[in-house]
Amino acid sequence: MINVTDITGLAGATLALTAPLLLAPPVRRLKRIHIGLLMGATAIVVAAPIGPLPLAAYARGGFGDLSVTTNVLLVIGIYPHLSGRRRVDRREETAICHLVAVTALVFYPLALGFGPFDPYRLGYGSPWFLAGLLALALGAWAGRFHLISTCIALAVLAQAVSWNESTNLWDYLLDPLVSIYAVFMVLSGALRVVAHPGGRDVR
Amino acid sequence: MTEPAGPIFIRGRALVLVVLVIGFGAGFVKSFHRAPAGFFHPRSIGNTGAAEPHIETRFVSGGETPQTHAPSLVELNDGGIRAFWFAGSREGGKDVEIHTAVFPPGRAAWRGEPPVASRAGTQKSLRRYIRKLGNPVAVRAADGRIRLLYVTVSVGGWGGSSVTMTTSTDDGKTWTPARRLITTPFFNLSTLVKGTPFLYDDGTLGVPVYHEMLGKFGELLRLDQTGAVIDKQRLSSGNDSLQPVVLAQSDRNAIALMRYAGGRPPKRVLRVSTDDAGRHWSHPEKSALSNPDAALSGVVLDDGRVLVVLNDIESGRDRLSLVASRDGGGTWKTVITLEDQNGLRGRPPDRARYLETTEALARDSDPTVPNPASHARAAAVQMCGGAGCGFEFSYPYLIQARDGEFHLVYTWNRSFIKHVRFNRAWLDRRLGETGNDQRH
Repeated sequence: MINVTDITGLAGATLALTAPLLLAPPVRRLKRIHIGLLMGATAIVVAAPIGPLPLAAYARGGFGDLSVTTNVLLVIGIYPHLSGRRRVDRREETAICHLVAVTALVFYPLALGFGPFDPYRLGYGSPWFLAGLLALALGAWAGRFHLISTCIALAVLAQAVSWNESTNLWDYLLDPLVSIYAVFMVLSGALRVVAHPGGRDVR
Repeated sequence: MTEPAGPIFIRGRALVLVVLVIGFGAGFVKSFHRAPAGFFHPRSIGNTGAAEPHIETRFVSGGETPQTHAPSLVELNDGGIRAFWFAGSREGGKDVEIHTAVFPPGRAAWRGEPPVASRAGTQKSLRRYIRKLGNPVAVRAADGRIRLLYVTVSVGGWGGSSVTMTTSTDDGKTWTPARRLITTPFFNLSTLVKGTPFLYDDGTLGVPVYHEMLGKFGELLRLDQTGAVIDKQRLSSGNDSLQPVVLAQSDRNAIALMRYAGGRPPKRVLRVSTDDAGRHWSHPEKSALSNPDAALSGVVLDDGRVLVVLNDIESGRDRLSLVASRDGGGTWKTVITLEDQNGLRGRPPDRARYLETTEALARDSDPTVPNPASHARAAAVQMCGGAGCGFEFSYPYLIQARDGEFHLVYTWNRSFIKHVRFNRAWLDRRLGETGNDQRH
């Protein structure tokens, strides 16, 4: 019998493999209904067993289960194309990219063995770590960075209900894919500022 | 400042606050219900074995596969012993499977059984791509079930490993679908098992593991009774320690010995210790035991003595010894040199001489082997190359059964698994004899 964590993990991998379709300009020019049908069909192909495993399972074997942050960013990236509503405020996206990038650049080297301190251990239920995250989430909420607050709160909730295979809270907050994306976005934003000093940061 | 105009769940301030309250409420409830740190639960097995000293050796595996490696053991409810190892055409090959055999009580031979895990089966259970399998270790959990943990790799070499677990409620006859333990944040890469898992007093399980991507260091996982990872702790850091073995002498005192993977002489087993049940571990220090970057194994006796099996040389794996310490690993004394072909190192034998030597070794190891020459030929396939032939006796795994008997298995020339069984009377006699001891 398939586990709930397999369903959530494969769903995340399917989402991650389907969302990049929207990077293609011809796809973005399609009508919303056609985008929806195309993405739905792609998701079925990705999630359906072809050979011993579905394509999503191979991807999951490589990059593991996606964090809540990645899932939320993928959903809010897809959502405007399917609903016709506006994107999330740029300021919110920029803030979460900065937070993820800085956290990842400090966290991953330490967690992979750079020095004796292992921050990953905090993710196994440390109340102090949770308290720190609560303070961060409340601070973000007060500053109207709702995307950050929402991602943190949903990650904590998802870990509490064992949404993914992992029992460690860090795996719900961050993953390498969202970290790479965030670092790329921060660097490309910085390059734009350098290229157009004083200019408006447009995409 | 403009109100964000995204999906409803990030638009409403009040809704975000509700999500925060629910999320952190659930998070804190879970956090406060996590298991408190446990204490060690050293097994207390007295001198219950046969009164007459004895030691015997035999082969576990029958040469069904070209290469075998990394055996481990677990005692069964009926007093038998079950062994696990990985085997296939070559280490890292797609055909590598986790093999098993049983040494029934009152018998003097191993009975091979079908493999317990394959790449395809594990892949199907985990619903993810698996490229290869590696080291298996088994342990009896507090509820009586046997948990088998083994290494799986989806991408890359052994540095890309993760740990997979399967469980048996019938002493290894059947196994549950495998599940993967998530132990690192970076694609769950680089956690491997080798050391003997152990129980804490609250029934949680300690699993010594190691990391070998970017750095090489020992770690200790703690699993709850459902098999979920509830803690991970570093035993060392840096780039020179692997494959920890935790040896608990009391509920609070333990040492952990680690394979030395550094290049700085002298090459010695690394040792850390704790006197607060693992809340804190000392910094790694080189012990008196030589180590050629090879695995070791050990047990603690009820009188506090520590027994360790290792390649007690600084290079190669062609000598394997059983050593003992009365002072918690401060000083060591050789009990017996189990295998020693170290003298041939300077002049590696050619194939013909290797076959002759190895056939004699196979005959000595197991007089019941019908054709020692075929054992020698199988070993030569693994151990002979352009520069001549070598010997390897490695990856020991030592346990003490409830009847007091000690069971040791190790890789024999990468082609067979060898079993050594001895009792406390033999051990005491060896340690009491003069002239056979070599102090470290």
